[in-house]
Amino acid sequence: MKRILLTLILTVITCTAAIGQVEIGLQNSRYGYLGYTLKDHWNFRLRQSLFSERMRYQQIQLEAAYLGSIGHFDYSGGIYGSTEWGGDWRTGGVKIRGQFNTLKRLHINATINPHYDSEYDYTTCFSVGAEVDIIKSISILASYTTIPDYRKSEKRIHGGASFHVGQLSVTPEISIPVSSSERLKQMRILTSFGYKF
Amino acid sequence: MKYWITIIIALISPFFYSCNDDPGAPLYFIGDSIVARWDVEEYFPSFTTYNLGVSGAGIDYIESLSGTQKGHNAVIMIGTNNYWLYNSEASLKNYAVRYLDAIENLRAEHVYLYSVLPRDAESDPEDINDIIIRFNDYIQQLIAGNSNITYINVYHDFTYRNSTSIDPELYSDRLHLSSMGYEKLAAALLDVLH
Repeated sequence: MKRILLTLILTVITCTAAIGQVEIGLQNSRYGYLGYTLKDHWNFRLRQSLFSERMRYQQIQLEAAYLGSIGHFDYSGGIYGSTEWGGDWRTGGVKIRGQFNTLKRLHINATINPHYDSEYDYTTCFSVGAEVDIIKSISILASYTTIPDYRKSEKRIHGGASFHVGQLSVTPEISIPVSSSERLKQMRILTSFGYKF
Repeated sequence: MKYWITIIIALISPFFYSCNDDPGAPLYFIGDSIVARWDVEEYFPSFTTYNLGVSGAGIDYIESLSGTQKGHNAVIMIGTNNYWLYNSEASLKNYAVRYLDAIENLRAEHVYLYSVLPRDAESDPEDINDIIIRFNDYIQQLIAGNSNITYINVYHDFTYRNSTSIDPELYSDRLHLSSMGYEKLAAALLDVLH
């Protein structure tokens, strides 16, 4: 049974990779995802939380987004929805992102994210940030964000680096709350990576 | 000279090992389902830990452990299952005395006592968190100056927007904690242990 399932998964990945691009990865240390980009523009992502909890309390999220660019400006717009497997809470929202690449090594980006969580209610989240390419395979990142790392919207500063080697990218970051008096205690280390087939 | 230094270290080291400030000193976690569901080995890898949590436990469970914690460092979280025993001014005082007696009768070397956490389960009365706040405040007053008990008041770390609304991401079912809730609980204990 396991062999059949593995063969099926590999066949699906191989076939879909032939007409698009498949990506697997980890987001913010606690979410695994499987992504698929069709014709360089349409991106679909299935994200599953990896909390040390029973399955009933895990979260599954579906995202669909359109990616494009006009000159030195990259943009994306998408929607997402998620639910706890037990069905006690749900989230949903829209994410619109833009990035200016006017300078050779500097990229300025901004995201607006109207976000609804059935337990936290509605919040308009956003982030503004910059990315500097040190060398071709290493960039330094910094941003101010209110987009939830996990579920709750908080004012945080993210700082880190992004490493790209072939089809693999790895992004370790620290996330520091802005408003808390106990910044060090509430600091998080977030690790993300993605591999494209 | 080296020989003597080695002997001195060998002689004095057992005293340091038995000292309760030693981060390696065993911790006995005692309480209700919030403790029972806590993977204390994962959250305190540098300590020897024992989880004596029992789902549904109340003050009678602590009373049943009388005298069993002699020489131990006990970490206690109890009281949420007994809120109806301290929901009036008069019952609060009686229950608080019973509560502290039960804890002292454990005969622990040192007690790390967590406050009762806010909750919002479906069947809970509307004013449950007001009852819990009053109880926590009263216990904190009673143990002020007791060097044997370190009170860890984490109640407000588990609220969101106002003092009676729980922070949903810290709970798995509005009563029991999520992994993020347990992280917060562990951080507060590590803070006082270090």
